[in-house]
Amino acid sequence: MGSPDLAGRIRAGDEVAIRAVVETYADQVYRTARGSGMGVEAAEDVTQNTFAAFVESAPRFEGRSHVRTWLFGILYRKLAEARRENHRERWVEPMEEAVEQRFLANGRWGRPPQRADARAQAQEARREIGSCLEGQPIRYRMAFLLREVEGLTTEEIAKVLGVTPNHLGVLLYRVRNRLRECLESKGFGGGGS
Amino acid sequence: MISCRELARLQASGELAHQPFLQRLSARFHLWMCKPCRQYGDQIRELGKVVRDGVREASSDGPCKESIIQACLCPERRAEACKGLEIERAEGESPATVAAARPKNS
Repeated sequence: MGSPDLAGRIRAGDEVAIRAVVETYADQVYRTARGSGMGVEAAEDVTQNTFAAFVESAPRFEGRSHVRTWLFGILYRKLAEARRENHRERWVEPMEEAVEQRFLANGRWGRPPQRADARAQAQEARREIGSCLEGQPIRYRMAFLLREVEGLTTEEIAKVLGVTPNHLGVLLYRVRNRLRECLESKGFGGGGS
Repeated sequence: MISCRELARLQASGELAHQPFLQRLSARFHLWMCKPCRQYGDQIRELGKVVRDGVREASSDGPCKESIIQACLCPERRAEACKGLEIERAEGESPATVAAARPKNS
């Protein structure tokens, strides 16, 4: 879905075209909003606003990018805006240092990860991961959610976030390690070894 | 041979699959030899699965699509939704492109 014709139909207020876009992408947008830490009501609101802004910006769209990329780009802006308004930007701790300290000077593991009893811990970890994820900057969270939950390609995510594919790799590396370290600090994955 | 640190970086950044054949072969050999790196890879994959399952469970109810459509059809609501996005001056650019031009404080 991303034909130039679609933008024209949406611009003209074609309800069928708008319905088709909403039916196809609303769940993904809503899921990403929820995954970024929003409650049900706030996620509903931001999803509505994202689609409303999408329709309003249809004249600028004109099939230049995939509908999904355009929608997630708007959502990203809205989540960043909401985050600024709520003054909730907080960093858990300098996780990069924690990760680096795991390696010796020769690049080998100094403090290796331990095997977690994944099955037994998954349920509990699912509860804890929310707070770990919420502590990350919105750009990190979006990169992680769009990759792991929505399965977007590197190129798509880079376009949504306005970064290069190489930079996206850095973001993913950082957020995965931060989440990993955060979970370990809460006692998952055999932390404290 | 590729170091543990470099392999961890490639696994977590998702760049391993895009490496040249010899680099991937070296990585496979390293993984075969090195238990901590295998465990690290397992944890990275498990992390994705935990978040995927959690987010899907939390959003299983889904949004009210009719409300979204009504918001899309309301001109006032659409104008309101665009406030702060600067879409109106983003000729030929995606919102993300416009965002990229803004200060990176998020």
